[in-house]
Amino acid sequence: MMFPAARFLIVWTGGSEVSTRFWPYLALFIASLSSLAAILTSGKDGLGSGAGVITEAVSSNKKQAAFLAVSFVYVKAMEYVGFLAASLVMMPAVMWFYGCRDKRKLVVVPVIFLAIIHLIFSKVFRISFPSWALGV
Amino acid sequence: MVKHVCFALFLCLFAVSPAAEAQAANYPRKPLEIVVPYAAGGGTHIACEILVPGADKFLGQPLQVTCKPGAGGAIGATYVSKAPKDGYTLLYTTLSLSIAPYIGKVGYKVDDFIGIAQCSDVASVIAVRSDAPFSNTREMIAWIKSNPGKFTWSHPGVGSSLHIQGANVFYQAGVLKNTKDIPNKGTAPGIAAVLGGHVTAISSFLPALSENVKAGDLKVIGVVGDKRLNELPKIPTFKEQGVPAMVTSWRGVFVHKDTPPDIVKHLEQAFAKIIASPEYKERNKKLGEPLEYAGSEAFTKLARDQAKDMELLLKEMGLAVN
Amino acid sequence: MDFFDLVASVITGWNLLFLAAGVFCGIIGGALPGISPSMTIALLLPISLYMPASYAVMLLIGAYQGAMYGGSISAVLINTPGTASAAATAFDGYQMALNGQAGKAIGMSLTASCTGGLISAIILIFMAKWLAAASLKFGPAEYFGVMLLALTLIAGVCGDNMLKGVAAAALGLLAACAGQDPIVGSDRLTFGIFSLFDGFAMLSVFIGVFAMSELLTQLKQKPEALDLPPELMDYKKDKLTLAEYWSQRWNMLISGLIGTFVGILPGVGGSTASFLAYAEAKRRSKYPEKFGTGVIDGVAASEAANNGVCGGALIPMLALGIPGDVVTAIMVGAFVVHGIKPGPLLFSQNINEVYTIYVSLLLSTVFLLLIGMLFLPLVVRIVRVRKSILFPCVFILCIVGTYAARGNLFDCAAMLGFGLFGYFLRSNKFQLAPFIIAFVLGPEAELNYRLALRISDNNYMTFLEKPISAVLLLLTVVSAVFFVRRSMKKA
Repeated sequence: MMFPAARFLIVWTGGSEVSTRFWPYLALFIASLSSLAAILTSGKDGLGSGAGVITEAVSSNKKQAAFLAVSFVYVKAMEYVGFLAASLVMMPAVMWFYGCRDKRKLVVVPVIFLAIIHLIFSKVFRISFPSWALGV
Repeated sequence: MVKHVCFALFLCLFAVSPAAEAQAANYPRKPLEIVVPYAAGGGTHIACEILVPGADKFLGQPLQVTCKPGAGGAIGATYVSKAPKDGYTLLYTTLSLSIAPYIGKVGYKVDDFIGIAQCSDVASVIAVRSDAPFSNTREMIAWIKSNPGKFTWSHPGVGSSLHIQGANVFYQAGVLKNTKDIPNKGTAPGIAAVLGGHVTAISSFLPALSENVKAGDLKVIGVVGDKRLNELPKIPTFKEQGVPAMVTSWRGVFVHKDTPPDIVKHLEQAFAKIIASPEYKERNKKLGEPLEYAGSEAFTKLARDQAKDMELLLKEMGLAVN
Repeated sequence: MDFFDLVASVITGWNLLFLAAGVFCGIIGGALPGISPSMTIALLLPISLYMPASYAVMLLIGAYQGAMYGGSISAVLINTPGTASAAATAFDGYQMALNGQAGKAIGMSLTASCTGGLISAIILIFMAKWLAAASLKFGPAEYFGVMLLALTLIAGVCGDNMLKGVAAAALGLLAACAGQDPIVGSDRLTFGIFSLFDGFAMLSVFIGVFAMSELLTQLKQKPEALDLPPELMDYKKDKLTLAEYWSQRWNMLISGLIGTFVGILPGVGGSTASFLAYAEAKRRSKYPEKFGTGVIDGVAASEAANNGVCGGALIPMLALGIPGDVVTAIMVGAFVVHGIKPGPLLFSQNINEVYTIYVSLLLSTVFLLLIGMLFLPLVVRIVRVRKSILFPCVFILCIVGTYAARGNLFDCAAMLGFGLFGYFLRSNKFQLAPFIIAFVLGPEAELNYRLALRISDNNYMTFLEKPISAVLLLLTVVSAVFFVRRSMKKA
């Protein structure tokens, strides 16, 4: 049977056409160039000491960093304990972050809200949420 | 004494058989999830949806369709291969099951699944605009050879079954390297491109094109596979025209191979009845899907054999990465 | 008269009931982040299989219009576009809500949606065949022209700092490149992560960059401030006045037309249309610098356009059998199962069904107005909930919404990541709009650019050789120059 050199189809198109890497590199190039220009023209003298800028950025955003860290843990935890369990713990925590200190609300609001959301999304929209996978 | 023993044995029979019945009767206890690894609303999703009304009569529990699109069908397939092997998670998919593992890294192997029932066998066609300067395969091949690089054909995405089926036609005709494949985002932009004269041909399933063919805007050059299409009895297959393009796309239900055998049996019988029911046949006809049934063993064999063929074909076409 | 008889026979009680039901479901589906219009229709599809054709048509078309409007509700109230096509609505709509004008914003979005839908319905009825034929002239080169024109709008939303806008846009392009290369099929920028094979889910980017970054920004306030019950504003005044609606008439007309025409092109839909209309409204406006701070023009433009897409996408579907966007693609399937075969022969074979579709599209705008107005007072109450409770609920909605799209926890993690990214951009005064626009439009532009080249055998002149493409490129240059000069004038 004849085996045409079909392999060279990929090489051929990769060679004379614009390659896969073109657009990402173009984007990266424009992004770096313009951010550099933007930073330089906005009056900051150089970039300061790299580490200094970063620690300063982190320290002024402690709350946000903490919140994000907790959120990542929450998403990961959902794989193991399921959506409802994880959210019942997470939501009061988030409410705390946002200033709610009323103990009653911290319990009642998550329960009601999560129940409604769970019902709507899983029964009406038939989305299957992660469930308890710890084998208890 | 013997009488007592016999009586005791007789009683044991009674004890055992209800237990066996109970195991089979215990299934299914909750609705079955059938996963479609394609976008909601697409052809495969709808083909699966028409299985649902009335399915609970035969299965004992309703079927619930979930769409998990992505990675050419691999995401949904991986999900089912990792789900508990208790017969509550089924997979409804197409030839892409056999294609995807060779095109990229996926989380499953074709051998992880066994077929429950084949529902259809869809053959694609190659269609061109009605004013194209060729009307059959011979003329098309001649045109391609005399106009190298000008022949463009559209398909809905790299690695899709239509891509493979179309490429196979040109490969078997020996003109693959003279054509250019144009991956549009779906069949619809592809049809528009052909009608507008931007692209020469399209590899598609007939239902998407049928109205345009009937209206005379598009003409079909040939049909992939063994049989002519019922809707187009005058159009010969590629095989009849001398190009042995035989890869067709099947659709069917799968389950993980480690599912208990009696559950597999129950599913096989139930789906056989669903597919044989007049309501399903009626809906199928309206959708334009050629019904083709194969039972569990035959379907599993088909899927696995085709996977091997795919491996060879994809390597030849230069698409295989694994 | 035959025509009126047909129309009269379609307007039956049961038909209207299903239309209303469709609009209702559509609004809810659209408003919930994570449930896209196509998902809503896909969910109604199995139900529609059990009913006769005319009810199914009413249900699905009503849901389509409802969903395109519904997205604006969450965009305005919680800065989380309920649908991708409401992203442009969030730019100004949320700011209006922050200024205490949530009712006005939602009122404007409702009326603009109805107006846009009406415009596209009229165009569909009178010009369907002709427009469908014209749309066929758009091949990859022409599509690229349209995308490039839409991308120049980035120059328009850059505001003061052009460089930062361009940087944000380039980052958007970069983010969009992750996933499968559209032409060759190999994966790029996926770093071996399986879930990235199809790229970042659009919703994780939208929800992350809009809602999550907003949540993070709000954390800057003191807890005591967040826990305060909101000041009692004069809610009676927070309504859209007739004068305000009338002042937007040209805006809505033009935006509705933009939406209709973008809808006609298969493969482009609500988000492209709303961004284009927003840009065009900003370009035309006498106070462009106010866009983004909370002007109703922005909301009106975006919403009129995305409902204009409804009628527009039906044009190629009915005339050629080619769906104009994802939702109409699903509808084709539903219609076929009911024996309605969209395509060139539809008008001669199934004229009854065609009239059913026309009537349902027209009346859906009416029902949208009615049902929307019923919802409005209820929905606006959400702004009155104190932030310490509202934001946690929004957070959960973000997670659930992102998860709902693909059933994939990676998307949720990506959403958080984009939230951090969006927060970082905002803190350093980069604009988010260019990033989003480039993320949405970039892949389309790239795909069509490379397809056009492949078809023309790498002839770069193909873009100028084809007349429509050349015209579009010219418009792009003109538009870009216009925007750049305007922003330089201010500097």
